Amino acid sequence: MVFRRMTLGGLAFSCINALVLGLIVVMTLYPFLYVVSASLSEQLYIQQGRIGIIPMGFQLEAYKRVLEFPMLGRSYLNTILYTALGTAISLVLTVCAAYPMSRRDLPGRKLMTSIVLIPMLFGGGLIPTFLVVNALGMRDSIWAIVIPAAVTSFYVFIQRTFFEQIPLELEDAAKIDGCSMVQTLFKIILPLALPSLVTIGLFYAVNEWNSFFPAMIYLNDEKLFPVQILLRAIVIQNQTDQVLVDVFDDKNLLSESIKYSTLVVATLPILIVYPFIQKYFVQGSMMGSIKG
Amino acid sequence: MKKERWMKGITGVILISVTLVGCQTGGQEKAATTPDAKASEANKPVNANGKILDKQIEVSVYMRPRPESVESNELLWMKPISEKTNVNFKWLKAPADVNDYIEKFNLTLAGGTLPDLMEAPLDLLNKGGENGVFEPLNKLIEQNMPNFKKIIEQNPAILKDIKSDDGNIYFFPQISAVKTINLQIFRQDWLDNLGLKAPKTTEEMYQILKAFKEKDPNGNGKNDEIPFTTRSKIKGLLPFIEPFGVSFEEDFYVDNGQVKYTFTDAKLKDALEYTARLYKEGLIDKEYITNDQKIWESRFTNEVSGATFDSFPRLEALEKLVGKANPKVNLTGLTPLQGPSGIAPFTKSQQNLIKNGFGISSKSKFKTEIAKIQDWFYSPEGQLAMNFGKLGETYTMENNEPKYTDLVMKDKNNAPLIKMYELGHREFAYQWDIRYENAMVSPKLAQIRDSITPFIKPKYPVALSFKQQERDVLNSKFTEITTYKDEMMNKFIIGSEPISKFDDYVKQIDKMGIDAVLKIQQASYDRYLKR
Repeated sequence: MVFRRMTLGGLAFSCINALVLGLIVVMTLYPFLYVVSASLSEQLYIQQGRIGIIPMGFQLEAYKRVLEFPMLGRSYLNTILYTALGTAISLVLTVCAAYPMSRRDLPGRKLMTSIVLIPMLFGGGLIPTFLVVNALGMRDSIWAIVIPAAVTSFYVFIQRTFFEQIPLELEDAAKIDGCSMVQTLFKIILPLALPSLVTIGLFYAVNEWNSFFPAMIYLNDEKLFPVQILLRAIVIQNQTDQVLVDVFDDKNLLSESIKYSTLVVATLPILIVYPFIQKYFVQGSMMGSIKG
Repeated sequence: MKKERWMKGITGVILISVTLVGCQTGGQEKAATTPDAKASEANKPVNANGKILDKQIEVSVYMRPRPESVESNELLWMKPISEKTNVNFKWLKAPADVNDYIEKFNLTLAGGTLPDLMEAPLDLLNKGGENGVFEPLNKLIEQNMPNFKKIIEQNPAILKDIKSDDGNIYFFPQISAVKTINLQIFRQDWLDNLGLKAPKTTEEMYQILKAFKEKDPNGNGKNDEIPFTTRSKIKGLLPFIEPFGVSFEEDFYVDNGQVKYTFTDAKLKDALEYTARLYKEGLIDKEYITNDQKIWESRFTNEVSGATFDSFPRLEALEKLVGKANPKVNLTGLTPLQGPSGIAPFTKSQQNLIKNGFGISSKSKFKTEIAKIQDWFYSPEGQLAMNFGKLGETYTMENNEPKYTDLVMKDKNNAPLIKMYELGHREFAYQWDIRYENAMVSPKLAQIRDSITPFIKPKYPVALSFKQQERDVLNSKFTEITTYKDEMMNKFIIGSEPISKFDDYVKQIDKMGIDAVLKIQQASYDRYLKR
């Protein structure tokens, strides 16, 4: 029905549009489907390079092997804890930094901005960072995971820009109605900024979920390990320099499939979060807040 | 004013988190130490006899695990060791990946509080030792380690490799049992199909690869064969180079006490010419520079390739892999080839005598104790326990020969080695037993492996050490030379640079300062000889 009203040019545009977007969908979706299908296929077919998006030589053994790993449950819980706690801390600190910086009447705002900007351009280096974390006594504890990486300058700036878009008049109105500054933040600003908070929260959560390096260098206790460390160990299992491990056995006959199923196990949970959060991405934030 | 309030808020948050951190770690430490302390008290009166140490101690260890490793003193394999030595090992979790492992090792050194015993590549331990991080072991060996002393007295080669240039020993070595590592792997069934015999010379090799290319040994009616492939880049082409008298396995070689550079040797010119000919005729995988393990395996499983150069256990690995697609597959291992110039066949591809080392932290409270338990690891009894586990459970003695039990060998995943790790087997510093390796490979493979061993020639020592100034020169000059050399080697082989340019290439290397590098190598080599 819609097509009838279109001009020929419009129709052509829609067709090309659909084609290009469809192509992009295929391009982004294919790797995912490939990984899933490879995780369900037999090693031989993976090695021969014959797998497409349909599994060949269907097997679930690889998943069984991955899920059998003794520490998996524990490290999954750890990861969930780190992600939840880390994201919460990150959001609080990011808001605490971004909101004042968005207020134009804040004295020394430029200085603060440049201080936040520096770590975006230069890092402290691995060993100094390690020494600081070590000296603060955070090594071998959950804090080594959630504190050092708590604030990302880039997200502070995104959040600041978002706060800046909220009209000052709103704050004035709140002030007239008797809100204190903290009340204004919690009752007016944050609800309005929800879409951006959710977005940045998602960024933080994904980073936290995928991060393995801090855990690798700061943690010595297996009980604290996040799932990524464990899964990394499974993935590299076959790339060892020890000659004797080259000796083939049935477990290694699955190694490629295991790698792929590991990828699925590691990414699926965080992937599932996206659809639930998606509505915030599209929702307009300022709808009807100021009239006239 | 406003700013101040904000700043206070932020400082408050930081303060709170710091205090929290303090509480957290403190609590954990307590939780971790109490049960151990209790255990040692309980054990003391009962087990004072026949143990290496009178008093139970806890030794913290940083060592490289396998992903399957289970770290516990209570497991079947580890328990007898822990009981005999009276040591409760406390493993710090280490990454299994080599690079990650070394990164964390370096950071741990930087962090200051070191575990008692640390595993690392030898040069890192020597460097740490020279900087006072690891304890010099000479005295400890002299006073507490009769078994280890015997080993190094009987094997001067080991002593030379573990001594640092300053005359001290900073680590206990893991001593390997076999030297063979890489060999040429061929499809015996392809040779049989074509009525050919395994090649002995470079000329025969050429003929056979040509036959693989042209006579359709896989029998699919298509001319799709890529006779020789590799996953090891240019090092995988070693069997075509060594017959001419030089080896990619060593950057330097010693001729009459003089250190020389391999890659400007005139013999290399002939070797490259031969290899380039094979490449040009499509006998060597055209994509050898970019091949990875996956492509390498697919060449075999798709049955387009019939020859490679790889580590010896891979022979059986490939056989099983290809066997899934074609049960008739039969692989064999070739001995090194005879070259045209009359140099006796040899190979320098070999496993290092010493794998990794273990150093004792110079701040450890238990230096003597650790030396004593290490000595037990090297003793005949300890060697059995390390290699074979628990008598009656993981191995039995038949005619004075240890043999693994079905618990290990008939594991349900058919993975004996991995099973050992799961039972608690750990690779501490001890002597590998050849029977440990034999138990893991089939008799056919053991025989092929042993057929290569006589051809192995000693290579330029890997345990050389350098002073800081020397390292700086090597880092600047030699890195540059190596990059240029790598590029040119591949160019000569794939034919984008004619062999006639070889002399120009040598001149260029001279210009880049190979002389300075050789002088350093010579000095270091001389120091090595004097150890």
